[in-house]
Amino acid sequence: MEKFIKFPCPNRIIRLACLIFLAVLYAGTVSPINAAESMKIKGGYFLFSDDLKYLYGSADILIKSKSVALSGDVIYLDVERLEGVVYGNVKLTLLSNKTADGKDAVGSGTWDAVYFNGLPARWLKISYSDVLHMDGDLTLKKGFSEFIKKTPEMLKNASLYYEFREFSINTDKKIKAKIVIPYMMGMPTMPLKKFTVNRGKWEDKTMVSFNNVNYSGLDGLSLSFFARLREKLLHGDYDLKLYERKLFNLDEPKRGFLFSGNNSFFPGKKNTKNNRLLSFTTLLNSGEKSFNLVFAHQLEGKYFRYALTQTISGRRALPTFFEFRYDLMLKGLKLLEPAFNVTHNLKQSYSYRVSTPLKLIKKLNLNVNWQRKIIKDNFLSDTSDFSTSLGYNASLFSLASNYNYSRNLLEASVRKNFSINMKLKPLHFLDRSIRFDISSVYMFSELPYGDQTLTRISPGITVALRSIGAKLPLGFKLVPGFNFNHLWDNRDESFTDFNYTLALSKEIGNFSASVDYALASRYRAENFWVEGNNRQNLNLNFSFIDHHNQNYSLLLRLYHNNQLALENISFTGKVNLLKDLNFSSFLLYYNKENKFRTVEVFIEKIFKKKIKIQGGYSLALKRFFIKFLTQ
Amino acid sequence: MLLILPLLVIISGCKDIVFNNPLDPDASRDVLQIIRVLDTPLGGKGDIAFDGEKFWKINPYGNLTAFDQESGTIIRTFYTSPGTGVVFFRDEIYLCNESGENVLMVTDPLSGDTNNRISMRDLFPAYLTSVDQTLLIYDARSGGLFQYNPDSGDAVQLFDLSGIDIGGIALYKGDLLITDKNTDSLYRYSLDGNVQDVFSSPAAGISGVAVDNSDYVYLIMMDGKIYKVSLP
Repeated sequence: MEKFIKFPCPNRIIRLACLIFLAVLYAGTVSPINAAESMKIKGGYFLFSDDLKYLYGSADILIKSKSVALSGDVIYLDVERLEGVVYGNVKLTLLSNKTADGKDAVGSGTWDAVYFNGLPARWLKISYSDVLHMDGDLTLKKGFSEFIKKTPEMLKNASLYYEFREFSINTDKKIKAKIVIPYMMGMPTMPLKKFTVNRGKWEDKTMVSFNNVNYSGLDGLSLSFFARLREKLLHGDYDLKLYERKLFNLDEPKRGFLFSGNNSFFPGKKNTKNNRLLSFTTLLNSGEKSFNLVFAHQLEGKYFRYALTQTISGRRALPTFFEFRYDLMLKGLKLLEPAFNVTHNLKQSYSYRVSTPLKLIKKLNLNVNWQRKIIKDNFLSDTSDFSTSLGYNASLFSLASNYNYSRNLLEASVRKNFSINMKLKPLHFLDRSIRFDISSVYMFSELPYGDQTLTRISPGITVALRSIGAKLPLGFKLVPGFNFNHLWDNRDESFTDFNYTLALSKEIGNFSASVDYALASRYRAENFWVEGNNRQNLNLNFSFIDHHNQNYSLLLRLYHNNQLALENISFTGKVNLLKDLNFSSFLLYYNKENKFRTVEVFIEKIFKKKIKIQGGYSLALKRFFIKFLTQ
Repeated sequence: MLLILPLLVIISGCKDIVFNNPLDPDASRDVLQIIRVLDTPLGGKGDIAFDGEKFWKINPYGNLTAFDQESGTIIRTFYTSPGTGVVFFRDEIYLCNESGENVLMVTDPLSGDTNNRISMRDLFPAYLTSVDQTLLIYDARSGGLFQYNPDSGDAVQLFDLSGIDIGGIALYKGDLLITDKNTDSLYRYSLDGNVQDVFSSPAAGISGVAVDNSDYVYLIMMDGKIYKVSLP
């Protein structure tokens, strides 16, 4: 009798594989259905803002949710933050004994105002009498006091707004309204029977949008678009720029496009920063005739994290570059968290790296790395690098230290350096109006210097004094500052620096004037003598700034050189000339050469909160640009 | 008053060389001099660049900020791509990031728009400066310095810089200035890779470096302070 081994039927294997795949897919994609709670709101008149973020309503407002019914005269609703206030004899009726979070409800009643937040909502009830009285969830007090109320006039000021009489809103901030009249430029247009805004999921919609049209003397005319892809199996964000230069007699390339994008396949809730099944970035440049593609896959488990990356890059007439990269990090070990990294160009170039933080002492932030890089592409390179870093933060001081050892195996040369820096915690005096910072440093370095080796050993100390200043008579303020730095050097380069600063200022309303004086000195020991130099400078500053409305900001500075003679004058100004028309400029005048070194002027105008026009001119570059973009 | 009195004493005797060897008045040595110290809110990682009239600072959060070279006053800020290296080249701002992308971003200094994105193939630029019509690029992948021609895409390896924790690079009188964050030093390299000189940073926490039209060197610290210095 013939012996044979019985294999399972291939169809069954396929079926089993399909079932496992479907089970995995189901587990990965299906999430519990969230029954979104909603709130139904009716009234005589609702205004919805053009950006779909704010709503105002008046006349017989009636709000009904699962647990509460509310009536009032006026409602302000911030859709973005899901919070609102109802005013005017607000009657609150309890439909359930429990609030949204399971606590006992605060009871029915009539109030002057009711503020609510979230959905299911938390409520704060306010009555205005001789004394402001609040009841309900008192943690909402801050939210109520900071709530911004936008009037109907403010909402109608936009080029687009909507009117309707009833709507519903749910936890996803999704708004459904019936019989909606859109108003464009203040005029009613065709009524819509239904109007739905998936407000909370707006960023998750597939869309294409026009970004801007730009003309500049350098880049010619360009059009920019943005596209967002949000499909079940693929998410992506893309930028496309089309440009024309030939018409404006500009350099090559005459016309072309620039495309860049990020894609993520099989996006899902498990697709996080460290978990990507497959993603890739794209760059296509028709001008340079080049491209870049980077594919990546990464996964994080309980004990490890890994990433695989493939880079492919090319340019016309040059060989295509490939590089594969593998990263692995082990987690869960007690004393270390080793990470391994390997790159390979699929030919002869490769590198490997081992690094780990050492958790020997918890407060000691100690890291150790070693890397070997061997490149045999268009050029040769072979290096071995070892580095450590240490950081320690104590109550009285902080410590930072680094050590690097790099060996070039082709040139047989070595670079070494080491530094340790200790900073004392700042010392404060006179009710924290004076602050002392003291730090010390030790540095060592060794590097190839011709046929020899250059070795430097330089310990040093730095002391800095900062002050909030002292008030003088007639409203003047004096702010001194001081910095001392001494460095010893084994190569006879020891020096001592002093930096003094002194600022005298006076403010009158929006106008302020100040005089800044600075003196920098450097001294060095030279045999038995000390030699050194000083440099001083003086600035006169005048500013006129609208701190309240920020309608203008003008700053004039006069710079004086070491001989305290006028050297330069600079002016920076920003003015809101008319409604939504902003003007800004920067001027730099060289007194010695008696000419303007720079004149830059910019204007920006916003039309109907939708379209922005920007323009600018630079005298030094002898160029201008003008740009139209959507808000 | 304790501060003002010594200040007045020093001001009264203020000149370039304050003390000297009376037996040999010409013996004073040329050293790194601090010309001016500017306070800016532009702390953190990232190099600086000079565009002929003002300075630019990039940071890893994507803020590209122009500031006045005399006062440190912020002129304007654009939100662009995260970066560590910046250079003004052919009337545009070139940006790169040490985080490991083989792409150069090109930004219009007037409008802040991204004019171009250049694929760098096997170079992963972290810091850069320019010489003539080429870019000098520190490649994070190999740890070497390259001369890159953006028109053709050709790159030539100049020398190895591994072992230096670079904060910024700039061209100075045909040489290269490189800051080392680990030892708070400023190295002056010739383009063939030889160290010409080493200077200690005037303050702790050195980051970026740039050179203006008058060959003054600007060193930005991690706390945002900028030291305008002259090299010997």
